Amino acid sequence: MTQEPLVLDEIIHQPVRLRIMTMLVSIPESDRVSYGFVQKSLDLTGGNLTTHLRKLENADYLNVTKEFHNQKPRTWIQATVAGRQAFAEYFTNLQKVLSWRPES
Amino acid sequence: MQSTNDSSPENSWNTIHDTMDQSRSSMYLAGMNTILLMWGGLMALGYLGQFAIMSLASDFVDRSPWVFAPFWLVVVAIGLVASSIIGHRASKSRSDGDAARNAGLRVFAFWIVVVAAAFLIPGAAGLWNDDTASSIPGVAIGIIALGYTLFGIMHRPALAVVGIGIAAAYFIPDYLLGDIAAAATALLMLAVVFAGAFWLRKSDVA
Repeated sequence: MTQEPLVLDEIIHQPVRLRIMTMLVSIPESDRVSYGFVQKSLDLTGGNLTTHLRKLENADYLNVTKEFHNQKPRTWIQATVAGRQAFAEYFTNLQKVLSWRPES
Repeated sequence: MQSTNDSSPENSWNTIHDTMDQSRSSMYLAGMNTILLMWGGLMALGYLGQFAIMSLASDFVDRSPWVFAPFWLVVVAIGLVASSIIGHRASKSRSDGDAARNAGLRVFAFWIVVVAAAFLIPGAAGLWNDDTASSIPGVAIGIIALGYTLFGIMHRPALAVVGIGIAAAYFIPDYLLGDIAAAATALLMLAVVFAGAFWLRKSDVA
């Protein structure tokens, strides 16, 4: 019986987006992180981060919300349930890819 | 951190683990830069105060050598309150939710234990008497420096170096400079802490 080929989710697999998603799924579901924290932690330019966030947001993997706190704008980023599921699936597939050995 | 352009499965695996470690550590370091600077200023003021008391009221210090223990207790209490306020504000600007709050509580508990040990261990070692009270600051500084070093080993090497620097800033003048040791320690402590804060700022710690 032939097995389905393993496919890694291309949206998550891109290295910068992988780091963003890893950061978001490593905190509890109810938590959000600020845009500035993600940018500084991952050492990204604002334009680069915004481009990748848009791709992840379009895939419904995260939510970006803008709020005002003490009259200062703040942008929050939170992984969605679909994003967490996609990351879990990506992680499982990555493990399978790494443990795969050709049959002799 | 792995190269961000390499999307091989092996690199992706390493990226996931590195990013998880880094983001967890970052939660524990909220506000650390500002907190370090604040402690540098506070310690320098403390040692300058100690130097002033030793110079202006030397008879009183000779009669009551333990006087610096309550003096430092007040200084450290001010520092702990200020640290928790700075840490809380920094943490709220990074993340909102359980992860940041729990990390903040753990960091606060870690430093409370270190500071409590700095005061209690000299007591347990029998140093709280007129003959040996002058050794208390050395033991206390050693424990605080150990706290920085352990915290740094777990989260950022720069903090471990700051811990070693704090110990050096106290023990070297204390050993070599006699009466002006406290003033020299104040300046060296400022230098160590500002250098540490600069190093942290160059990394990802705000």
